[in-house]
Amino acid sequence: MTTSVETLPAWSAADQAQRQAMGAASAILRDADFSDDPSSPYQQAEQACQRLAEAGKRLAVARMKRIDAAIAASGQVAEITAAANKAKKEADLIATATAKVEKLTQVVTAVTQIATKITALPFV
Amino acid sequence: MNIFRRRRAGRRGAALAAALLLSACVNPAFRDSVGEYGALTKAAAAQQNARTAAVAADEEERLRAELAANRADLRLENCEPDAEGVAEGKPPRCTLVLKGGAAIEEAPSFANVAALTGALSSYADNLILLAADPKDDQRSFSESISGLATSLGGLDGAVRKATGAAPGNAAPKLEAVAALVAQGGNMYFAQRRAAALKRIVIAADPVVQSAARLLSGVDGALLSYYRNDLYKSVQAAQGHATRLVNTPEASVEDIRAAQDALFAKVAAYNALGSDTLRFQAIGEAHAKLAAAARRGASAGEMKAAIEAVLELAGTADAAWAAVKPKGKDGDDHQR
Repeated sequence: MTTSVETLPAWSAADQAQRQAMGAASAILRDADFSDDPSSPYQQAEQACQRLAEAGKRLAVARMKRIDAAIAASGQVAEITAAANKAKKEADLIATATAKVEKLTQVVTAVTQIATKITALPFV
Repeated sequence: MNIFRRRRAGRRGAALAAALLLSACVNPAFRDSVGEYGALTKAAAAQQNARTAAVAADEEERLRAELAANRADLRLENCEPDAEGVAEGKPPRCTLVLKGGAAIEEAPSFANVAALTGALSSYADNLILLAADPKDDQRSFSESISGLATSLGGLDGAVRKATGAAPGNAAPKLEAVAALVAQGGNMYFAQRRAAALKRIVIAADPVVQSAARLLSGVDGALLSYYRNDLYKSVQAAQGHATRLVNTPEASVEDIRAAQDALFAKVAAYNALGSDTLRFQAIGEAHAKLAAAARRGASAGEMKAAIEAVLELAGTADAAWAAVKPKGKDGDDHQR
């Protein structure tokens, strides 16, 4: 089974735009002369980089929300839980097999003790 | 050699052949690889859960800060103490809205991602349980069988005494039989564990692949989130160093300190980038284990599976190893 996460065109467009803008702002920031003037290319590029990085975080969260919703709709949690339970059941069955032999030993020991006691009785 | 000796030798040979056949079916490398895979998957799931929860907490903090900064006028909705449903024990959820009733953005919980990683972790847990060294089964089984032989010997003696039959030498025979049964049982348990593991790994592979793809997507989004977050502090450190370099009054020591901080930030940023997609590796390793299981764990398939598990171990070790907890100044978002 496959669960795919639908990528919204709007998300893809925003993601691509963010990458391109970040590339452009980083290039300006690398080459521009330093200036304290808020309207200078350096300061403008610095602010743009900060804002674009924040936008990148928002896009990442949006992507995680989409995956979260896809998981909710997929029923995969139940399927993997079933596989996990199956593995546990097998492990338990093997443990039970040894327990059964131990139980049999206890029964045989009890029967042996009773038989020994009976044979010790005077009328036997 | 007379006919009886030949028959006895034939029976021993058949028992030995059966034992060898059973032991040939048991490939400890497969069992060990599955056990290791389970441990690595469990660790990766725990790490992803922690990071997803951290992003959810960051988001909640951001949203709260935004509300305050925007002077959002919060009002109550569905909070009446005796609202409809209260008497039936189903009170409506009390929420906060903006004045006028517009909903406010809620922080994500990523509960379904957590549930999926939880389920995968539980699967890994039980693979570990099933892939456990069968020595404990063997010890317990051998002791039981040996105890059974002793008990049967005692029972034989008691019955003979009661019936007046001549004393026999049943006990040594029973002990010999018990030893043989115990030996067979040991191989049976090892074989049974391996067979169950193979069956489960093959059956679970499609859903594990699908889950691994989804969680690999979460890995990618998390990496993007933290890279963007860390980039902001890298860029701030670069800005600070540049400012000092362009400030004539700044001392060389100050510049050196700022640049050292910048080098450290860049190193941390690169360490974060080296974190590969672990859930992709988890999917690949599981697929190789399933392939090895399907083909009877041949040497070549086992080698590929072991290599995949080792690669997974490599990504797990490298993952976020260089990153430190969030700093007090709040600008160091390395996890």
